[in-house]
Amino acid sequence: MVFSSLIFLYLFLPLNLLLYFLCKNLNYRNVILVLFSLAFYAWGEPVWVILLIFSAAFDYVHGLIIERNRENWKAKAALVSSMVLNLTLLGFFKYSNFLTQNINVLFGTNIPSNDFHLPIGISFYTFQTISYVVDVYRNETKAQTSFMKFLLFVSLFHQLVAGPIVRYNDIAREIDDRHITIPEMYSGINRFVSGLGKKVLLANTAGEIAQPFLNGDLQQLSTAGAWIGIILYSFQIYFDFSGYSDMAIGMGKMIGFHYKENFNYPYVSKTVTEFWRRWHISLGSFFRDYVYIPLGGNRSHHIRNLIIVWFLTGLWHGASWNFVIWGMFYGIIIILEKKLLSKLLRKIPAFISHIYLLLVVMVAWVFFYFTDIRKAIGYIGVMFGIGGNGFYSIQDSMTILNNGVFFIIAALGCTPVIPVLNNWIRSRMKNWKYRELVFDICHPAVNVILILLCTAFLVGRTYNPFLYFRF
Amino acid sequence: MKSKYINIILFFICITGIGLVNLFTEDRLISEYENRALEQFPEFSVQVLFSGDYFKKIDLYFSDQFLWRDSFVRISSGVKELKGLPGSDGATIIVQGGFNDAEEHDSLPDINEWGEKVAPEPDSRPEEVIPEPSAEPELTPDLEAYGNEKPEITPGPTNDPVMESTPEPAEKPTEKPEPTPIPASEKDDNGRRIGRILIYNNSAMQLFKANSDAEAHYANTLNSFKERAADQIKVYSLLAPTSAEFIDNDKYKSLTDSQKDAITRVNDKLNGVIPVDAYTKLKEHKGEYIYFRTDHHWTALGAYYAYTAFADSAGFDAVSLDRYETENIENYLGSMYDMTSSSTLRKNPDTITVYKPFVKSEYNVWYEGPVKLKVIDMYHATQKNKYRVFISGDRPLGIIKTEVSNGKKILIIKDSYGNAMVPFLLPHYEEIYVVDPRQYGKNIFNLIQDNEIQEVLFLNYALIVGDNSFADLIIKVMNQ
Repeated sequence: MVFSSLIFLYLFLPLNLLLYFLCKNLNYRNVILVLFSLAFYAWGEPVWVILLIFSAAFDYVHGLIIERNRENWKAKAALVSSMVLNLTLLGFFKYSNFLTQNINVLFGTNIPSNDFHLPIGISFYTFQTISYVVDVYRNETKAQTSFMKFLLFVSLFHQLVAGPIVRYNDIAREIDDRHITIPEMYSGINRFVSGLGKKVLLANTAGEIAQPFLNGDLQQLSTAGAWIGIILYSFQIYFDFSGYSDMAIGMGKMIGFHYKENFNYPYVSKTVTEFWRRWHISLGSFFRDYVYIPLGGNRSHHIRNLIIVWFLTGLWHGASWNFVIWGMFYGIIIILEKKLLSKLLRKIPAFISHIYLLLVVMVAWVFFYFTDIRKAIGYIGVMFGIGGNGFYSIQDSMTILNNGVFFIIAALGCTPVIPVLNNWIRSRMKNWKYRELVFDICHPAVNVILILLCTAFLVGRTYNPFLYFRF
Repeated sequence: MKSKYINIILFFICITGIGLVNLFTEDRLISEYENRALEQFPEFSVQVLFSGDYFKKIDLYFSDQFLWRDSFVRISSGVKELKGLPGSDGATIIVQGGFNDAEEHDSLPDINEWGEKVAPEPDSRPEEVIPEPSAEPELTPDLEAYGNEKPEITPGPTNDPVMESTPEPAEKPTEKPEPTPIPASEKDDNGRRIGRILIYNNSAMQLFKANSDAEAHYANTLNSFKERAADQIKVYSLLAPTSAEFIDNDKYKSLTDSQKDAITRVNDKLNGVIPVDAYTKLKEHKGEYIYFRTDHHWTALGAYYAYTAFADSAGFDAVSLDRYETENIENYLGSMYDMTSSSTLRKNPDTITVYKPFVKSEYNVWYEGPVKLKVIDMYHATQKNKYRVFISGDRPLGIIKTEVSNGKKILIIKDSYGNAMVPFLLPHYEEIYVVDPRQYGKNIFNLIQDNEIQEVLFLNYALIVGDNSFADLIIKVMNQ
């Protein structure tokens, strides 16, 4: 199931919250969350939900073994065994076909592919369980003794399929002791609705407008059109992903969970290093804490460590070379920034470094979008005037005219303009006694309008007039 | 602090309230607005469950049956119109998935346009067919509602007097063009075809993308048809340009590939098939109301000019338009409006002018048995899809027998463009056979042999040479 679907919004979520609030006992509440989470997962993966439960059970047991055998070889053995199994599962489901294809190409062999599809969210929940076992091993957290509670951590539908990658440490306390408060619920709702709006109103629309530019014939594409396409894709992927994280964080807040922020206006960054501190933060910090620092961080083999981390970051996003290239491209630029460009980037005017960052990110998105590397290179060529069909076409200007308002809203949505405006208004009304009341009336009004609008867009997306049309 | 509750309460009222009302709203079978059957609650089976389809179907069911669905759709298209900058000349390109074709919707349920359940088994359906549907229009079997039926569903030859006891035609050894898949890039996330529509000057036009492979495929298909048909049969090909071809603005004209060039390229490849030059005639009259603005079809006037071109090729004198009595049908919002929900189009509906045949005729449409219909069926003037007034819409096989006893028999293999032109042929032929290859489930050569047809006209709009699917349908009716 996905958050941005009518059935989630109007059946799953209200039912979940209603039952949750009706139970006062935290244990029952946890059971309700687990049941709903498993149903949520089974909705998209009626078979592989078994794998999720198995994976959780396995790491639950390993956590306990480590806990009971501290300072003992068994702890290390359990850690190794857990890593091997987690990575094998991920490798088998996500990377085995990629591997066999490459082996077949390299050695001319003919190893058949398996036809398992990738279980939804396996990349996210595998990382969560890995972080748990490692944290227990490092004695940074105590092992969870209740399987039900551990399963809750692994399967919680808020972050199960699209992140953020929540670490056990972050919510360990809240699994046992959390409270619903009115202000938290209030801001959780705001957060959820704004995430929904980002996904449904902005990401989906950007994706629709981008279609003819990204999926059209490269020979017909103009330079301006290539830029329009990739700008729209940059909007789409940001609003899609951060919208999902917002919804997860918002739903967490409604019932007393606090997940860490996953995005912090990445497109306002000035350097690539900064961009990655603001983009998919939970993934970056996972690789930092569980790969980069254990390898030696910047103390030994700095460049090697960076290359490994960025290779893995790329590969994590998908089992295809274009993602590896995408990750390595960032890796190389980050190495350059750290070793050569850091002084230069501090000296040049801010707007130039903003442009530099956006250029790098957009070129990188081309590799992210096109699994076919030749097509990606061709597209980048068109962006810089090589190949393609001239500088500009009538369709480009029509797209801008027809969607001008959308472009402005989307660009503003990438910057912190709304919170800044919010705070500014708040500070202007500092001494006015109705200040909070005004906000408490405006927020729900905006929320209801957004929900209805999102509903209309979600229904509109399934509008499928049967026209018998083609001929 | 108390005012914080407003947000929380409203949020819950919103999702639970709509959720509850939605849950208790009765399901609809069809959507008049979308002209299709709506998804029903799926039947459970373990197999469907494990394949993941069960929940997917429930998702579809949930959105198809969602509360105030039509209003929400209107709101979303209304809001989307606001995203443009003011001050432009109003020209818009709309990219839409949903250009349905034969490959799709094969799983549409067996429900007709009026929401009646119709049995899918061929044997149980003939009783439902009423000989005079115009008198009792509710029972007109209209395949458009359940669309592209699989050929297996249409009855076998034994049920059908026209087709009775026909031997397989001796196949000549010719190269059979094979059906080709459509490139995946033309489809959107939902697997629907992507089409581009330009709205300019209160008129919506489908933009054309030329495809030389598909042009060759169409020409080869017609050539192979000509080869396999008996030698004395004359085969004509008329490709009708669409409104996009005559945009009077160079800037926007550049958005669409030349249909004239595409038609010429097809005609150059024809071998033994006689091309009919409708293009020149239509171009001469391009200032007239020859295309609808809210629909992708031509008007009867446009079809008339194409008919005069056909008369030139086939060697008969076209009847003057003055001989016809006319009738107007106002307020027509056609397929382009359905696709785009454009408010510009809504404010500028079309008028359909019908030219009433002066030649007496009897028109039967063949499903399992004959259904008597009218060549100009004014019943549809009061319905949503008013273009169906012309030969009562797309049918698998229609047979018109006229009072003209000249012994001439023609078969027209057509898409819906053909519908508006067929009535003009009444004064020239004793028998007119109209086949829609999207629906026709039998062998076309059998039909020709059994009825001693002497002429065949392929009558389609030029956009079908933009991909292979229509030619593949012709191959299907040649081979099945």
